[in-house]
Amino acid sequence: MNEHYFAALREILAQGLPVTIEVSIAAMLIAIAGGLVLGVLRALRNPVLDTVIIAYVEILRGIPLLVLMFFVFFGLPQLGFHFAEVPSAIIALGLWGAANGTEIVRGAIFSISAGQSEAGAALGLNWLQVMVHVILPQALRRMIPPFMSLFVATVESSSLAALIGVKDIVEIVRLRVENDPALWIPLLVSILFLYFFINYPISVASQKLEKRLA
Amino acid sequence: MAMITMSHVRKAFGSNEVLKDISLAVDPGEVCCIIGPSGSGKSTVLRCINRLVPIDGGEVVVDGLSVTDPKVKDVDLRRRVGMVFQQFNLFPHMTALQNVTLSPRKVRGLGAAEADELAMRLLAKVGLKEKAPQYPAQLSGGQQQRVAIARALAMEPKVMLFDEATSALDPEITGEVLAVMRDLAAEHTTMICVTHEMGFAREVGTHLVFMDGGVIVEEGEPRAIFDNPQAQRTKAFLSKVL
Repeated sequence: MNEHYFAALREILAQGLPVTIEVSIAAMLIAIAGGLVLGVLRALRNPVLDTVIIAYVEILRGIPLLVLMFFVFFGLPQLGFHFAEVPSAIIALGLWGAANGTEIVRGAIFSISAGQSEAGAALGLNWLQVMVHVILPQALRRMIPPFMSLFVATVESSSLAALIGVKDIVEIVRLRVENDPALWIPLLVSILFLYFFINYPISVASQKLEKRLA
Repeated sequence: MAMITMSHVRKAFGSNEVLKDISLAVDPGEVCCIIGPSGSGKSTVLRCINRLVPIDGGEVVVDGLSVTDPKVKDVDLRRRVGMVFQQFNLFPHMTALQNVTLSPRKVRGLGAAEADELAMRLLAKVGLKEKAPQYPAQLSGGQQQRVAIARALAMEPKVMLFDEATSALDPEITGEVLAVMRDLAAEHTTMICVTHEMGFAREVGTHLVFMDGGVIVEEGEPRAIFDNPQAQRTKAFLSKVL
């Protein structure tokens, strides 16, 4: 069992871990970019835009992430859009993250007191200048902790990609134990530590950033 | 010609009629003080002047620009009107200097050096030159409000609006802010001050307006009104606050 275990562990670290990290970081970049754009658009308080964005956020947050992944990987090809396993996982996780990111950005922007934008407007700044120079610099600090939590959740949720065949940490464990069920416990304990070593630095970085920006 | 002319201004928030037919003229160099009970519409009058609040009816003309004219841009109106708020509303992520230079740089298009020079001159004017590199959280309330005055002056506005500029301050520090306002008045800055400082309104004001329930009940020369109010509501109000 020892050599099987170490072979499996090597494969997890050399092949599974990079895939998990790639999927998580790519999805997180989509979440941040999408969240910033949609969250700032919400601050325009345009009724039509608001309706569209709220619908997007509520639908994406209202369905299980796994269903979303199945939809992108198995459903979209039937509509003529074909994506491989890894891009499908990134798209699903990214769209889900962007919905959560929108709420993070919107919440942070609206938590800045109305007096701030009033003062900016009274100084002759236009809407965009008020957003860029007055609101966002203050709101960004408040976005860091929830975005870090979202990052942790994204890393954890990326394991669902195993179910559409992405060879991430979890999928490699599953393939290895099929041949050797005795590896279940040693491998599960190993990846438990592995996920912890990915996520713990994110939490620590979040706390440090929060302190520095406070 | 008047610097600011309001004629028959009406404003409602939902079913709450805040301003009912307000007409008021403020000449260049005048210090117009607006007094009255809470909820009488005083702050809304100020907000109508720089379009922070759009009016429902009537007309406001600021230095020849009409607030109801869609061709008049917000920025052109607001450059002429400096505003100081009850809660200061300094930008907490910027130093005192950066607070003051923001509008000169982004709105008036001054270069960094020129804006800094202007800001230092204005901070010196409000007695806070040495506080330029400090953040608002490091300043006392009175100091923050003086920075806010310098920030508004940096637009080189034609008129300054003060919305209860001393109401959020402890009584012993209102004096330092009022002193700055007195200096501005002595330089013949056109000012409209919503205030609860009756001493300031009486001694510094050149024009007193008493508002109640969204209407101007009485207006005129401050001393005349303080010493001999005509309307019953003015008498009742002054007897409570003096």
